Amino acid sequence: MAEDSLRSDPRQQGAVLSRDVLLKRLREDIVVSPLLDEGKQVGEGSIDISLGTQFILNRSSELSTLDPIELTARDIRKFQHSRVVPYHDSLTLHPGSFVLGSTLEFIKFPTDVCGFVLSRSSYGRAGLLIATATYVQPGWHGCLTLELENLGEVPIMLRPGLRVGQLVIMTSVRIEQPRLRDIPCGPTFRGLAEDERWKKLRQNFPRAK
Amino acid sequence: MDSLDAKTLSDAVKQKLFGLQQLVTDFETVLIHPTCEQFIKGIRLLLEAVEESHQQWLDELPSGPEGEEHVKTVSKICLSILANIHSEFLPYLDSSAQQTSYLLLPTLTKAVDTFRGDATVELALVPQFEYTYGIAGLPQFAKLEINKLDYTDEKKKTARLAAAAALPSWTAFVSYPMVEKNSALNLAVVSHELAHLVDFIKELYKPLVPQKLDEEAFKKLIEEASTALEAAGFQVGPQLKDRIEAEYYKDCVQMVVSWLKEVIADIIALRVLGPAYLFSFLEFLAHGAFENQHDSEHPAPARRLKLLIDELSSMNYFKVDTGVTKQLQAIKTRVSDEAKTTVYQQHALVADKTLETTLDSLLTNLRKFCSSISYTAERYRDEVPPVVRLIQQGIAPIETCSAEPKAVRTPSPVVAVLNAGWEVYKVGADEFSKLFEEDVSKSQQVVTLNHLLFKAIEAGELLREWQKTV
Repeated sequence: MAEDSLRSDPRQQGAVLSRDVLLKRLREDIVVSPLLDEGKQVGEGSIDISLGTQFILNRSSELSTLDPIELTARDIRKFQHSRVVPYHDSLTLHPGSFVLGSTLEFIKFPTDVCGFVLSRSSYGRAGLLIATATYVQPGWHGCLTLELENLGEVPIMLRPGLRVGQLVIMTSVRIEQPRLRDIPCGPTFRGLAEDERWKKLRQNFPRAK
Repeated sequence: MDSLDAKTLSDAVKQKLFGLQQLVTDFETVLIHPTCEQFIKGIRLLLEAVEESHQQWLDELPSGPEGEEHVKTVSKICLSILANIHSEFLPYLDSSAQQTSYLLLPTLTKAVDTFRGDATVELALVPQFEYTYGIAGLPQFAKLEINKLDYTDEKKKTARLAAAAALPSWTAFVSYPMVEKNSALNLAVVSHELAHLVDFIKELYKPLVPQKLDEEAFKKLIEEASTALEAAGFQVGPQLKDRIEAEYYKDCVQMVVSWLKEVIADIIALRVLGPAYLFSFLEFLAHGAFENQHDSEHPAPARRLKLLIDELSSMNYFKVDTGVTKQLQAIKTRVSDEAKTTVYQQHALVADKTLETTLDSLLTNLRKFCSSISYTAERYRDEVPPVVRLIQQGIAPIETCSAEPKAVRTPSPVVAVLNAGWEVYKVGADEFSKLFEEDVSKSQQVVTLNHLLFKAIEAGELLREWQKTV
């Protein structure tokens, strides 16, 4: 199917973009940059993405529990610390450990495509999970935060530049370009969203005296 | 101090050595590898040399008062070197641990590599709390310190000196205000400090130092000084006048050389960075709330700005239309007005008049030196607009892609990225702010702009290196 009709035909929304379409749109309106090895990084329906140089590590001893409602900005600053790892260096992710990283690639989606971040199968089989919040919405700008966890039994060396993930891109209903709060260029964790619904629920169902 | 015996001094050396070795290890663990890698190697080498030479004397000296006296002397030399390491070198390691989240050092090192010739340089960025930028260049620091050590076995000293010679010939620390560590825009002024480093290494200033001071201004200075002394009741005879002249001559020459080095660094930085240097320098003057006053090291800011504007003019920035032409015109007017009212007196007048005599040859030499890398208005016109367009779309301008059918991806030049950043900040801020929700403050938007620039510089460097391999 011609690419123009892919964009306009609602029946084709949700279709994964083929390699040819991806290559064409990477020259037009999809940004994945730097694309070091376009020939190898762009596959049928996905683009390989790599580890960046910035990480956020947890100091678990600084926080007894992660309570989504009580977590303050100060708590976050206390239990997280940033680490920059140059390209020739590595970060060891031990079994069961969890760190935040980000994509080396800066990504900008037009407003008619969305995407999903997945581990590349070879890394997945080695036990490396790279994303839990995998959806990338239309109009996204920035480097994607990766949630890296070692589900395996042996430590994994995380090296910036490694192609650990893939970005599956598909068409979606065109939306208006959303206004941004930020354009992240490294991993971000600002806390958990305010949960107004939960607060109301708590008011209506107070603890019994 | 005679109250201290040989054993106390000798034990102090051992204790201090141990403490310093531990400190170096502590710093090493927090520094992003390879920050200060060679510098740390040099410090370790120095500590080992101190330990070795000290131990040699302890092992070989006879007991008795004469031996004790020598141990005291040797220990004191060792302690003074260790004190130097503690107070002069380790603060750099401490400051180096505080860096931006982006890898800028490869880009800065590459910039210096363009000019350094045969010299080898290890560069480190050291944020500090004083609102100034500066550079400290240590030429072969380990070799210099090891030479101070007294060895019983000269062969061992020679071996240590050989190891020190393998270290970079220059270790340079570029300091900048801590508050600017997340501002790519403002850190552009670091180019001035790197230009100083190039000047140190290449000794550009040496042939440019004027042969003599401006006679009229110097004569006036001496007359004023004599009159002031006479008014204070001194009788100014020929001998005293000679002494005044000698003293003032030395001070004036020192000032001329310092000012000359500043002018050289300004011109090189401007030639390399174009308007981005002027804008970042103005921002530095604004943030530091500096007045238009000279000091013994620097000419008055308005005079420096006037030189920069004139140099931009010679780089065609007032002939070729660029995105910042209007801003440059406005700065030119303000600077011309203030430069006219800048009045120098005494030593400063001598320095200013003297430099004026050499300015033409100075500029000719520097233009020749920078000829291959000058960021002329024509280059700005060709390279900056595509980068600006990317930023205005909220994209980190890592690379630009040429039009179909070739669609070649080219890493954005660092200088174009910085100039585009300044253009967006100065001219296109309203357009840029359309990307954001209404309640996102302007300051927050500038933070984002800086992140985009940093990301572009870091990833652009990676792309350039990658392209060399394919």
